[in-house]
Amino acid sequence: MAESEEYYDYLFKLVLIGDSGVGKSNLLSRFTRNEFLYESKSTIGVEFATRNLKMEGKTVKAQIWDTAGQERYRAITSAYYRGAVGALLVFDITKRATYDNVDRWLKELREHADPDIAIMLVGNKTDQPHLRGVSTAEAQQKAREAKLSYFETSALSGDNVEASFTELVKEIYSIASRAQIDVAGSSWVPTQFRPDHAESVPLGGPAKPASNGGCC
Amino acid sequence: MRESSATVKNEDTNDEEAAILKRERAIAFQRQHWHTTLIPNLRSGKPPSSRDIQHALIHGGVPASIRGEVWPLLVGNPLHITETLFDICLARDPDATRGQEASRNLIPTDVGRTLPELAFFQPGGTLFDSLTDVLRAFVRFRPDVGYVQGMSLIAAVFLLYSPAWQAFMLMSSIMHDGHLITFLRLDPGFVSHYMGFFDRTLKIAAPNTHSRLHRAGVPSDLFLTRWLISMFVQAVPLDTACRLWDVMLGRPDIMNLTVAAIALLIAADIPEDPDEAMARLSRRLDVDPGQLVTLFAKTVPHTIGPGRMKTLRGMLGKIVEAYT
Repeated sequence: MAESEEYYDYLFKLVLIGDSGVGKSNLLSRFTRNEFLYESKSTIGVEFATRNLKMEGKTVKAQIWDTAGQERYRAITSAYYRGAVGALLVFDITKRATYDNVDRWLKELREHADPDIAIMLVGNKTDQPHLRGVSTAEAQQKAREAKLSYFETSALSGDNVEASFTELVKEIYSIASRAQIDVAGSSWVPTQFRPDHAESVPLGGPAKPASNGGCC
Repeated sequence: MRESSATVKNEDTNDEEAAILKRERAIAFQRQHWHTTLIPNLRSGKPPSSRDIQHALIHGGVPASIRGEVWPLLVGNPLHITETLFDICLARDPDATRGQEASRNLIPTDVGRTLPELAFFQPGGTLFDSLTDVLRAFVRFRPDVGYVQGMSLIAAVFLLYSPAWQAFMLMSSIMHDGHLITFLRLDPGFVSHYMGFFDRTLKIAAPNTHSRLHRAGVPSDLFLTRWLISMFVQAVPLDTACRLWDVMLGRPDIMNLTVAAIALLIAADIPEDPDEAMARLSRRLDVDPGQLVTLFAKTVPHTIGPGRMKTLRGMLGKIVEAYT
């Protein structure tokens, strides 16, 4: 592959989290491939896709990790939060229980992700307004209190999907580029924010979980 | 490298027809062989590991039309599960406070999106209720494990060939016999130890694939969790998965699943580019079923060697034991 196609200035690792069946995988396929899979399947473990975006003439590569919603999988998926600079916390506006769980997901992020991770709350499935169980005002209120941005999307129609991902990337980009101007080269700037170090960002994976002793 | 001239195209069509005819004859012959010799042998207690059965499983596999008959003979019924037990499990009131029984709440979310390409399992589909029943019964039979996302695929594949109670029996049997259940608990300690074990085994069995994965920086759990928990149903196309099950069901323990994963990694021919490598391993892999089965049953075990295989099996057994 030609080097120019692979060139990017920034690499942002993002994670998609939230309860099972809220539409995380379909948001991802809508954003990265502009597809909605009517034949959607449940995510087992972790899946992955990328897309390049232009920000002020710079290329930002968004590397997005899609995670299983079942609680049992969190032990595995939470390892992927490490090194992530952004998270889309998704709930289903037609299923109240998925919204009630948002606080548990936030707690999960606080425990396992970097403290300055940018989080966006996403209410998905606006294509089913007649089934709505969570009002926009209510979700906005929660987002304000937790200092998150809030978007409502439909992976099915495509409404707001592009806007929500782009907004999150823009938010991270502005922090990253500001950090670079203010304290260029200073060591506290996270590696993944430094364009000249883009290639050195470890691709993929969670940092190795701490050894539980014994074996291997 | 195909020429686009008309003659070549014509020859291709003839070749194709001849190939289909040949394949159909081969399947008819296999079916005959299973009916007259192999099924009676299995019924009279001959183990699936015996030579003629292994040979048939590797070369051609079990014809789809008789899988409903053959798979239960390969798996056996080590837990002596009866249709009555299935009915009792279904009738028993769930107790959300017991073990992992609350996980049953996820069953309705997953049943309708199981093997969506077949439509059998969607609401109103012919197997929607059966799949729900099998998974509910399993949760009540094994409240310590409960329902784990991915299980619906295993139950669904059995349901394609067997009635509900038998699908329940087959699923419970392979989980028990194969220690797959240890993996399904998703204890982070076990998973991390297992990933370490996998890495060592891969390095022995397929050093080139191992170094390519490392160069690309692909974390093994990105694909392994999905592959093992779905028993490869979400790793390869359904026909290929069934073909792999033909050779795997006789002994579906974690060591054999490990060998199958290595075989699939080799067959997948991982790209050098890290993103492409990760993207490919995130999707279903369209590999040649015959090649995959040969790698699983012959090439990989041969490369590892019987002595080392025994040692590795023992090591894995100890890891499983520590977390059971």
